[in-house]
Amino acid sequence: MTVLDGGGVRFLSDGMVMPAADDVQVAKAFYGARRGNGAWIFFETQRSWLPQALERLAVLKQLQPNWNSYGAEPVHPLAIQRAEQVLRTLADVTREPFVGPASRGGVAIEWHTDEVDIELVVGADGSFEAALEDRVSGLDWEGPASAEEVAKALARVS
Amino acid sequence: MEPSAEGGAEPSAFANAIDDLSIDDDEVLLRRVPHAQLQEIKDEQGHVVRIRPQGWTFNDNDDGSPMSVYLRSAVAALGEDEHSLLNGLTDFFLAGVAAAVVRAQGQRIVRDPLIEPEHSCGPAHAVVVGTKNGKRRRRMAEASFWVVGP
Repeated sequence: MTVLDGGGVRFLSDGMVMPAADDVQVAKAFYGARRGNGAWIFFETQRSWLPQALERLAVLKQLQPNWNSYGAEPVHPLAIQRAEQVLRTLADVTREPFVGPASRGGVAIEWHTDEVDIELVVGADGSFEAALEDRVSGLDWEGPASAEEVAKALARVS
Repeated sequence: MEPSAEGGAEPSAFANAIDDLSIDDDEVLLRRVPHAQLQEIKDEQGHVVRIRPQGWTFNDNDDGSPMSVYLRSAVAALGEDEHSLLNGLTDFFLAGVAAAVVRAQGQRIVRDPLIEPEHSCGPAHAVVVGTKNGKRRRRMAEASFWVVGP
């Protein structure tokens, strides 16, 4: 892992070569990147959770009508498509999410920690809903979500 | 309520249904869980500490009818094996959750006997009526336990 802070680079493991020591944008093209404690933290992309998350989406895509034995609808292709966009955008920005089926053909992308539970639900029509339960601040919110609200919630699991 | 062969009564039949207090708080409500709804709970280091049903497991049906469950004691009283609830299903598991947990999430439990071809547990069928938001679903999932686990 490599930490870039204050324009300098510290190598925390051997064998990693930064393409441009002071260029975050270039580094982000080569490594997964996230902000942490005021610094950029880069990590090898093969450790990314994205492949596993996309595999989960592929599994959801195969679900047949009545997949839960209680008459569930199959996951809608548009929900899969939108969920994939979200996952690719968030890859390595957040902790690893759980990806599962939601009701009525939707996809749920979830993060659960000791402090916070976040659910981002992509509906069959491609719409977004989000739920946030923050046990530290006491915030407990659920409903249709704007990009800003989603971003604010996700900052808790980044 | 008389048994029906069409998957239970219509949702509207339960809109004003009252909680059946003849169902004890310690009754175990059984709910089938497909493999797709297994959720790995990980610690900060990424180690799996628990596998539980996803919160969405404890939701109303996609057609709007209330969440379907079976009363464990009623299944036993029928002389049936609860494993038979998984008859004909592959990669399915069975979760249990206490009636008290469900009621604590604002839900009402109503008997809804069915006639089902897959097994003989239909008379033990019940529905869980009430609004199920994300937090309530999650609380039920967190408090659930495996009767037939992965």
